Amino acid sequence: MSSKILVIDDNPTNLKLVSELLEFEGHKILQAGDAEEAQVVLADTLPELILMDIALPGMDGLTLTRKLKADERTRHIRIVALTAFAMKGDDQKAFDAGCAGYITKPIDTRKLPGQVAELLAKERPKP
Amino acid sequence: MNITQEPKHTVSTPTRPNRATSKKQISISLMAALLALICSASPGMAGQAPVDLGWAGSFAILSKSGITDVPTSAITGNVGTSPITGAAITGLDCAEVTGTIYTVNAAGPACRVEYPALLTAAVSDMETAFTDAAGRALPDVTELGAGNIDGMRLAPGLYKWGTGVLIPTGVTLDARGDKDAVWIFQIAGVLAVGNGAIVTLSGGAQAKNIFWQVTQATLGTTSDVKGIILSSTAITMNTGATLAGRALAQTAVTLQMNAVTEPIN
Repeated sequence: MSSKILVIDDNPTNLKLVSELLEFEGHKILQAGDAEEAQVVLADTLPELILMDIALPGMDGLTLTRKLKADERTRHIRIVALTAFAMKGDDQKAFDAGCAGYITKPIDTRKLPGQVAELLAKERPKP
Repeated sequence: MNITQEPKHTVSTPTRPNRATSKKQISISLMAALLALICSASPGMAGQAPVDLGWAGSFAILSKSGITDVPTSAITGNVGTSPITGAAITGLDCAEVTGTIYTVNAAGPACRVEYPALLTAAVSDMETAFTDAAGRALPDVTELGAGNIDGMRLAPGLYKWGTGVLIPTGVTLDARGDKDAVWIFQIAGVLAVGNGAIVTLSGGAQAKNIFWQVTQATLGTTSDVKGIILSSTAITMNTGATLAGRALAQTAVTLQMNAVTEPIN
């Protein structure tokens, strides 16, 4: 099933590869390199899922997640944290901020499409 | 310091003998003291962060100059070569890989997927990971066992050798209940694992958190190794050797009826 997914990552290589891997699966991909750019994209289009890099320059991913969850227009979007160093407690911080899931880097190209499909299949949060 | 070596023989000459104590009792006491040392906390040892593999972490086997296989091997995880073309993957059949074989061009095994952008990123990240592992400062232990760590039980930490390292029969890595415990082995030479040698994980140790930074690695026949091998040159797996981890080589990877299984992230 094709879905609209916003990928937010400040690393251009990560942004490109994650986007391509999901495009191979038939998803429509929107991209943003930071929180500001993401908000511009979201002002225009609402995706079903956001893959959110946590360590963004400026406003970090957790802050942006909290902001989106506080906004009636965007609170129904499933947000999945995508971050490099899986340290103790990071997953809980992501869930506390409102993330529905947590994917740790290194990204496994074999597993990412399945992880995304599983998250898309989850019941959507009520608006 | 948490580094301990399993006693290979009983120490029977105490420094302060008690006339009322038999040699056997003294030996037992010393053994108990050694065991206490094994289990003791290590206030001076700072936990290492794992080495960030980036996109190289998507591969069970990644090589810059080719992969040669004598079938039948069983690879669980992705396989890739770059910058060398897919033609440098020889002997490896699609049926041997549970994963994707990525190449930079339309050459190589029939099931290959051309994805040069992914491979370029992965190779770059592999080199960065090697540099990170090699550059970690303030090792907890240096020149342990003069390069022969056979029979030792090693706590998490940063270990450094200015030589190669030998594991003739086996070594145990003991996390003592900390599933996030990390080992980084900085080896300025060849990691030589003996025929039939076993790297044993204990106390919750995980292969994904073990990093062997080496100039070259040779895994002996039927040896059983765990961890991420970051090699500046080749990784050679002799007949029947198994690796629960990743073989990330800046030159070639040679397989001969092996099993390589990527760790669970």
